[in-house]
Amino acid sequence: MKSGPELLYTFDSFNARHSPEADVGRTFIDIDQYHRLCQLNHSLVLGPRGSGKTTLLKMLTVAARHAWKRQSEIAPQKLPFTAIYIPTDVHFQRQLQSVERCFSAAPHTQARVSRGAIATSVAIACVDCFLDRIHFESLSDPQKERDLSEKLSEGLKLDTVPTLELLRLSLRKRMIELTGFVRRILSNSTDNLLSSEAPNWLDLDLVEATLFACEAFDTTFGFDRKDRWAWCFDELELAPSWLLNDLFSYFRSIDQKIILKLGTSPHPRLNADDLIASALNDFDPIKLWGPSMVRQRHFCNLLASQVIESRLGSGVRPDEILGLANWFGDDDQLGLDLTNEPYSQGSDEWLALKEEAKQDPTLSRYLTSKGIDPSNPVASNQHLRDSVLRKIKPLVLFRKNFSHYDTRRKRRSRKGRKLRAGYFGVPTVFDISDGNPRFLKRIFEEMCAAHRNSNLIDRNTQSRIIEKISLQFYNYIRGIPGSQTVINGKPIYLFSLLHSIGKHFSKKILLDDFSADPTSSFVVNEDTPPELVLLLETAAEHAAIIALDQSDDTFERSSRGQRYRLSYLLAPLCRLPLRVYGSRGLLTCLSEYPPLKSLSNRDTSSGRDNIQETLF
Amino acid sequence: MEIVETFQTSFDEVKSINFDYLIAASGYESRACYISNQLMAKTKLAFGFKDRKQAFREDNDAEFTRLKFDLDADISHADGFLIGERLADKICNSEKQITRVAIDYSCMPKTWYSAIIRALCLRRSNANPIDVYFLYSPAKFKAPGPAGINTVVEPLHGYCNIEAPKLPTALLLGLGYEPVRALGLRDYIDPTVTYGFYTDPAIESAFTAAVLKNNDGLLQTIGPERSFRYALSDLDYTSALLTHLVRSLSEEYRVIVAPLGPKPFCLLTLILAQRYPLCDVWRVSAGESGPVTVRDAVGSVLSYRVRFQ
Repeated sequence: MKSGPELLYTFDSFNARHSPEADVGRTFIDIDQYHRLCQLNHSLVLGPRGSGKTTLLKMLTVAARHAWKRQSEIAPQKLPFTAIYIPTDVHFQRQLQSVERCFSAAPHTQARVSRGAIATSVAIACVDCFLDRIHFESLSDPQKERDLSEKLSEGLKLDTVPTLELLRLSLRKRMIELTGFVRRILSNSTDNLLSSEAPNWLDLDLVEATLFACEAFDTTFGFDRKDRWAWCFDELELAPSWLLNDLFSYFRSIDQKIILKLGTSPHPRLNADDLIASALNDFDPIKLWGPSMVRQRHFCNLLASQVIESRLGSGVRPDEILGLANWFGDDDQLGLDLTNEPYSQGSDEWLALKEEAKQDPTLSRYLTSKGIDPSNPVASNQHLRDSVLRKIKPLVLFRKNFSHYDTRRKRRSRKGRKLRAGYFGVPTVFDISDGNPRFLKRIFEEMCAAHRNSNLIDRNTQSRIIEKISLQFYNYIRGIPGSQTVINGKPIYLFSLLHSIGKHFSKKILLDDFSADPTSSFVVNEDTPPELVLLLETAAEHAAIIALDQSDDTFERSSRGQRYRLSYLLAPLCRLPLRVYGSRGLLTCLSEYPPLKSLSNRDTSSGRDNIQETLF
Repeated sequence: MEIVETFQTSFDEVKSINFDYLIAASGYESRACYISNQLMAKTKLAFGFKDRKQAFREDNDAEFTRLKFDLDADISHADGFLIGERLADKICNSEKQITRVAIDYSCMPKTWYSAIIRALCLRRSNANPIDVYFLYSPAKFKAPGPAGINTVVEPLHGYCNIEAPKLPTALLLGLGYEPVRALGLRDYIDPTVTYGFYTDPAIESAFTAAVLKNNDGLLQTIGPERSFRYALSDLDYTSALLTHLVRSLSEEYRVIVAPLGPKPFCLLTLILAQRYPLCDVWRVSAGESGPVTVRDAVGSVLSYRVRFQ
């Protein structure tokens, strides 16, 4: 066994942002979306936190591709552009917001400062990119580097320096200068007062500066001046709104030397609808959620194997530590004993259905209505077996595991949490991660820590770990600043809202009369209050809800009218199956949520459940 | 002006001084007047909160009035800047060789005392030092309420060092005893490394027990090598520890200090950030949704003298 690195337990500890490009390249798992991103066109990578946007964008960089090339048996094709990776993060976002507040009485200076900070950040990214190209493409030539540094110093309004490293330092010094300027600001400082104090480099134009820098590099090192460069802006949901709006407008029109590879949350918050409408034909929207179950599990298997290799050594497969059981899944993934013919008399399915039907009169009535004897639930033909028994089996087993029929009270009750194992086995764990690399790594890190003596981790331990991580995810949602709003004078918290939705579906599935067509997804009603819509978009940004039914070639700016399900990582907490059933109107789902009870009366779609069963 | 010297002093020494200014806050806590009742000063100013005029607020206003304080009873949390400027206007215009100021920050929000420190640092020096005694009266233990929501998460005004997000982030948490808050903050900021500071020994051992219990998950992940205990009563040691860590981390990281715990720790981080602009100091709070907790003075006072010149 290898002794791995220190365990990291929190949700965002597995962020590719923390990894140098070379490390990202070494561990990269190739996916279809990456090949779309490599095309010579503008792209918009959409996905919640943890979905792999940073990995994909970093994988465009020279350093990451170089590391990947060294690992790969087949050399990756040369990219038709040079990628300039431009990160941002919560830290930088909050700093810029704080700075903006300082200039509340000086809006012109406020805009200049924000733009100046971003332009400097992009300039640093350009210099890093140049250094990488010089290193990885063996372009090192002190005279050329001096020439380039001098050109850039002049173009970026810096004192002349002879090397790119010194140029980088000069750019960092600008941020210190900016901090000094901001620290001296008084809250009543006006634009007039500040005009002479503000550094003149704040007015550096982002596009012009980048074009100048890239052309300077190309001409100095003898490349074609028409060579293309890609701005890879990551985590734009954290960037100032002006930047997102500017970049969307650049989709329509920007110098051909620059192409855009942007990463942001599922619902980018733009100021104007027409920006999207006019840009839709000009970029390729690449979504990082909702792949097919087969593709998702394949990806999860590769990623989980990587984690296991780093923790337990090579050659151990995910199923060798978690097993293949999948209690509530489809037949081909079930860990049941299939020595008997499935669904035949005496089979495991037959026994489970019979036992439940004996206890629960609502299931018994359902079977009878379909012409099946509850005391001997055998289908008389293939069609009946498929349309009834196979369809209801996951639901019956789910109900059986998490609730029971109380014959005294004549209704179903939830089983105590400590009574049984719930969520375990490789298919379940893969599905619970929603294919989100950060979630999956998080789960497998903990599973590996619990692994002993080359044996399967027992089901109770697996369930306990999954439930713990589910609770931690819930607490993570609780800790998101801005995840609350006020509607009709009542505070609404995202975490309690989602919990309420989950409990609504859970009650329907576990406690109500048996239905072969339950609901487990919701549609955001058109008349949903805007505050609630924004809250749900925050949930989508943090992977707490997952959009369904979306086509690949477009994207929805708003969650209004969209269909969602809760993240499967919340399923253990709410006791939900890992399947998508029909949908209900959001406000109907919230009919028992005290702060929004009054709104649920407005929900016109409440009476019509949309029965649309899919696996994801 | 710059901060040229800091050290802890005894409250007995403080009580013997006839201050030029005594500044306090009037709020809903019973300890609001505890220190003011024991000090002499030529000019006394008290700032009262605009909101949450409940619990002991009325009594405190009456007591400050009886003690001949000039009371401004309608100040919001966001008005720290105004307080800082008003005090700096008064204090920095003094012709005295040494001006002595006592500030009881026990019931002040971070936005107020951070603004006072910043305002003094921004003033031009007239060569005469100003000695500010920051005074804190620790509270008796009361179990924390249910986990609060992190509504406000931002750098304090004037305590932000803008830097391009190329360097990773290090987060230094001054741990408080509220459940979930620190872990939620860490998950949200997503730093590359996290350090935790907690009081041990605290003024009452129940504080330490609550901090450890409610930050158990976080401390486990941080590990012992990144968890630092400090004695609340030893401000000089804590200051040295913080300074050393921030200075070394700032070479490789963008550093955020988030003081969620006792106010003296927060004070030390603010002074550090003004002396060496190497880190941000962030404010994390439940905002107006935070619970009202009435705290009684335990009976001791922590005093930290800061010389501005």
